[in-house]
Amino acid sequence: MICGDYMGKFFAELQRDIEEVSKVYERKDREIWIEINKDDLKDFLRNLKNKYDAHFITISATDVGGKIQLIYHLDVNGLLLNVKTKIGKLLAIIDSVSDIFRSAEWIESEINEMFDVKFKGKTYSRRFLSENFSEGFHPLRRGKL
Amino acid sequence: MEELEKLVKDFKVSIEQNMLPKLDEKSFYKLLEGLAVKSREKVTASELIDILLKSLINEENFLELLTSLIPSRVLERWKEKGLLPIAPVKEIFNSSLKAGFGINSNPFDLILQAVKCSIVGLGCSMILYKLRDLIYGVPTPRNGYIGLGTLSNRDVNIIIKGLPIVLIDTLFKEMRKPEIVKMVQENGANGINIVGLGAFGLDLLVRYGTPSCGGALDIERVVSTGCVDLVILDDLCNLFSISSLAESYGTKFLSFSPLVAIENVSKMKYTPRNSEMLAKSLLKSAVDHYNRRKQVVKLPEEKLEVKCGFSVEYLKTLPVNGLSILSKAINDGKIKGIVLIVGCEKLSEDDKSKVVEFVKKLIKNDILVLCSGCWIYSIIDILPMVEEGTKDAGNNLKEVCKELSIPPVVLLGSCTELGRGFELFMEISKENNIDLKDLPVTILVINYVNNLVLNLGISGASLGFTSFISGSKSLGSEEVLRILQDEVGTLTGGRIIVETDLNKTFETLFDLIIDKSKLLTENI
Repeated sequence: MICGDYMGKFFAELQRDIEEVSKVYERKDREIWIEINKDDLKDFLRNLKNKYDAHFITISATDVGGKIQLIYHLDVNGLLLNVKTKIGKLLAIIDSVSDIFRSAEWIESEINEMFDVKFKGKTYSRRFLSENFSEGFHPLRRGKL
Repeated sequence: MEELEKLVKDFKVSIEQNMLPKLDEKSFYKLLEGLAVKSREKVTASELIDILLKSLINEENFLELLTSLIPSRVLERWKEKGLLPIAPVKEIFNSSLKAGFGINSNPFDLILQAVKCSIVGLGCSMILYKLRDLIYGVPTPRNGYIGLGTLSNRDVNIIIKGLPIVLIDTLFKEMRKPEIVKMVQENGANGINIVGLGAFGLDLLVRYGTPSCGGALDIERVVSTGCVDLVILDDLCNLFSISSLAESYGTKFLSFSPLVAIENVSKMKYTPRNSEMLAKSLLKSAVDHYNRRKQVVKLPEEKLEVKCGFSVEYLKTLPVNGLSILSKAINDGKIKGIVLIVGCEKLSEDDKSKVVEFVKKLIKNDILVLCSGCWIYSIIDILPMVEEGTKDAGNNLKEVCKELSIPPVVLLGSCTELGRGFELFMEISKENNIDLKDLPVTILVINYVNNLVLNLGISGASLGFTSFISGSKSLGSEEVLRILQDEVGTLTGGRIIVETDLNKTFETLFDLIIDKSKLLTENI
């Protein structure tokens, strides 16, 4: 159980860390939504893990027209932190975070197959989609742009 | 191809008649030996030209020519995917046949044929500008003027939209002769003002510094000033309204192209041998018209200074070796990439502001912009095409531009000069030893009218680049778009993206360049 004082300090510190990388900050009760540049993502997540022992939950991906939006969901001391980032659709490449959070490996592979997003620094050992889906077909991707 | 054939034939006669005083024999041999005749020795200039002409119809010669122009990795890819064209004449003949009734109903095969033709176009365009460089001189940065203000009230105004090679030199020479100067003065004019128009106008601008008064589609605006005495047309992008313009303003229109057949446009036959006589008669006809002008008209004063003229040769001749500087800057990520923009049509006010904002964003983020084609006439007043424009550029780009003495938005020339941009990319890829498709370079085709410009976008994709085709026009059925965007890319290693929403195009293009640059610098 986290006491009130500690929680207040933690929030203040986390907010300071977030403000360094993100201009968007939304807090609803025990949920925080932020948006950051994809280049700052990995360092930010590494910092969360080292400093607050953040736990990785999953990544949600959505094709939002010209870009692919990725939301990294993390548990930071019982707080749900949602880190939103967008990547260009044509090359669709972003740093893998599976070296920080082992549990990200599975979902990164799934996103790779469903959206054609390449996670830098990651090797894909097996394919999840069945043979009915041809190579190069990414079911959740909408058009070129 | 047709442009090239015409040029090469004229060139041959001119060489035989010794009519090109500018021609540097050493460079000529160097060029042709580099192009197609490595294995042959001791041939005359005329024989070399014959070999070049032969390559338009002979498969073996054309392949030899392509080998000298295109990186081997790309050629291998084309060969492997069955994209290697036979010879220009044959490919164009096949295209006409396949598009005929009852022959080919397979859209994929027809598009494949179009890709082969675009490769033919690419090869021809590259030789075309190399030969033009040889004849007119290599473009180097110079200041020039663009706008209606380049016309002059008190001068005999001759608009050149296209002229055979020898005739240009002869015309410039003849107009300075005392008897012509005397004739002009006797008719009350101060002098003769030669102004370019359209794509050819840009060619004249980058090579001779001759001012240009507008794009091909500006011809109505230009003639309706009432002070144009003669317009010489080529066989590219002529408006058919020219016939009624000629009637209304009494301006004389003429063309030397056997292909042009527009009402009220006189046709003249040209051979390099009769160029002197022709130049005289052109000047006389323009002076006659000046004499018939009823009153002095008030001309718009818009005339903008631009820095134009850029070539790989220019970079190579810089004391600091400009090509190495540029290649290194791209390899190190100092310059994030290059965007080559080509187009025809004037932009709508709405699109204009979007494009300007986008170009400014590119240079701010250290991305060099190369422009070619008539679309720039409509935007030249707001793009930083002069050296002072570097103030809007990112610090790294600013530094490189200063070293190379170029503005951050470079005016390459006409759409037919796009091969020059491709040559620059090939040289950078050679210098950095990376495949063309890995270079942070994209082609943007904007507001096209002439299919030549569209073809250049496809040529870019056939080399391995990503070509964005954007503008108000749609390209065709969903199936055609699917093949173009998905299947052609798989074959060529490049990509074609067709998108009518400019904002979407710009956003994706920007992301792509930045991502590619990062991949290159991080060496992944």
